[in-house]
Amino acid sequence: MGQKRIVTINPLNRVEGDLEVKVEIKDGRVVDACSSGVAFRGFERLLLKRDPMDALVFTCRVCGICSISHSTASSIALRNAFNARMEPNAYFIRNVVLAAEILMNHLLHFYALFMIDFTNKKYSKRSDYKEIVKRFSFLRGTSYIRAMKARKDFLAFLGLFIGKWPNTLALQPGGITKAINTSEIARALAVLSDLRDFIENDLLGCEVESFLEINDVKVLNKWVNEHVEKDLGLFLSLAEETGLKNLGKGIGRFISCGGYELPDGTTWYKSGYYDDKLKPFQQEKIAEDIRFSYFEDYEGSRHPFAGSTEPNAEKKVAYSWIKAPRYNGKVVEVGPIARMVINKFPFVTALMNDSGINVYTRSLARVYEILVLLKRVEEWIKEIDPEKPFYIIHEKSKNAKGFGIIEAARGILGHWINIENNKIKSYQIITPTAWNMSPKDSDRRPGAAEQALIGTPIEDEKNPVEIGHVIRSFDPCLFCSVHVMKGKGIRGQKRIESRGERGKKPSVSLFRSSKSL
Amino acid sequence: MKVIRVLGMGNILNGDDGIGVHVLNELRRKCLPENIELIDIGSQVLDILSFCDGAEKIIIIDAARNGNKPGHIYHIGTNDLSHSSSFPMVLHNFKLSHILRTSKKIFGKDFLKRIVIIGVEVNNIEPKIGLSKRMVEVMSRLVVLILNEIKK
Repeated sequence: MGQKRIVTINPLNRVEGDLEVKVEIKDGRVVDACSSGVAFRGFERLLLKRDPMDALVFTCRVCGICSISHSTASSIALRNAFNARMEPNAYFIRNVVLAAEILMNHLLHFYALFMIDFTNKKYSKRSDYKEIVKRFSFLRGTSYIRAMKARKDFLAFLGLFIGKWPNTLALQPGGITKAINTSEIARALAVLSDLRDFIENDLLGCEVESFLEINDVKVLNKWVNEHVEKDLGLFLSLAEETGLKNLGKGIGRFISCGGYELPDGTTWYKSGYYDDKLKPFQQEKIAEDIRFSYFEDYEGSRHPFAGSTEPNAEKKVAYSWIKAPRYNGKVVEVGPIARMVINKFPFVTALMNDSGINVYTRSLARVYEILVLLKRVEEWIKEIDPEKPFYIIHEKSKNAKGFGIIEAARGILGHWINIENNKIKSYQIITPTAWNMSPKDSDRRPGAAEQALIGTPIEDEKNPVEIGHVIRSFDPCLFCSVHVMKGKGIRGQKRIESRGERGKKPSVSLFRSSKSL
Repeated sequence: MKVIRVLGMGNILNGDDGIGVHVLNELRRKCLPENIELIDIGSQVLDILSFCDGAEKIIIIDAARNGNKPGHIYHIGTNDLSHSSSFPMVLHNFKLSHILRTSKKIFGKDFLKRIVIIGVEVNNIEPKIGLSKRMVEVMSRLVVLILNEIKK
């Protein structure tokens, strides 16, 4: 306790990522946490002075995993700016492909990231450790391989609806530019049915529908006892015994902007702001604070329409390249659990009432959403009528503003565009990860994940797997390394200097690690 | 028909990172036979697997950082890829070597024999459209290399 020694551990044995989480441990608990985006991305700046429609070409490349999500947000922002309209077919197809991208993300997160943590040596004394390793080992586990194969086979589904994946241009302000015929729909349904088989045989061990009928914790516990031999069952039995319910306590404030537009002008997921009570969500209440971010200072916080992305690597107090978005001045959490609490899904509400918001509920809500979305995708496909149009030609406005906010895999994703004289005057993107992994704000309130980390009990400082559980429960969309520090403030001089050095080369942003090949 | 697939990897918004995709665009200007498929897969390392079905040969072009001078070309057999046992914190952190190891389990042991990887040591990776001068200089060599691989 109180030692001056700094222990810097990267438990994942990797070079630094785009996101760095530093935690300070005292008496076996995390007492402070800093979540820093370590690379300037600033793709918004590439869009300035370009044709507004270029946004569709650029933004789908902002993220390798959420290509469709960015296309969706961007095309809605343009539709909003141009007052374009869409045919019902376009609504359904856009919903199908967005939901498909999200459920595949969740599935991959579960198998390729989250479950692998349980093969950590911390759990080696468990009687089921051998089984866990057999199923979930990275690159080797039997379930891991099956999940990767399921993903591989599924991507053809996206090709049938939007021509290609990733980086499609089929999602446009006026709808979808790729029509789909009956035989393609039949093929898509066959691919979807293979995915359902994987989910029912490997993940659940029961029909999707019967799991979706579970609405209370007692019934869930009974289900777990009967399905431990399947992957979700094994996770849930592990979760109970490894104390995931006590890790990563949430702040209990959520926003959802509503998701999956419907032809009648509503959205399938309802929007809302949850703070013990449910209140309406208003996008005007979103503002970005940059007190601790490497951007040129401005007074207070700004709505994205008034926002700017001017990097300042020399800023002394800053520690992140991520801004700190706040809702109505408050720190909020976004993601599957946020939208499911706001939409009053009985299952998720029951989990929250039972153990609150934590690693367990966050992760289970994510898996639950796979099932919910799978069902929805099947329904939306039925609504498509190949005989009817998919696209409406629209006018372009010379001067206009527009925004598109959607529910992406990790929470709300917003694009704000300001068009002047047929050119993009400003473009701002707020990603879900900026909400959850944001740094502190002008009032020094830590971001959602930072708050969830504080108080985390660490059994072994040399192997802080608990931190991995907490961070992964948010599924951050940047790759992340963790540093544990002991006995010295994590906002000490040394750290700031090192940020500054990195800041001199502000633009190294590696989206994938294939460079190390 | 024997399908040969050329996969260009990288993000064209990130300067030299997009070299793989720029090479594809260059190849598009050649009159390639019908059995050659050119696919821009962006930064989706993970989803290479989806593009392997039904291809006799898969040529992957990607940006590399391996300490050599910018423009250095790596012609890599799959056994040369560094094998890391660490696992990714988030989805973006999948390495090509991870994916190739997984591919063996899915497509069988001999699968890797069908893969050729061409890496280019890159210069500037930053939010920017277009390649640095050095990358433009090596472009024609890359195109010849790939055309030779296709003919093999």
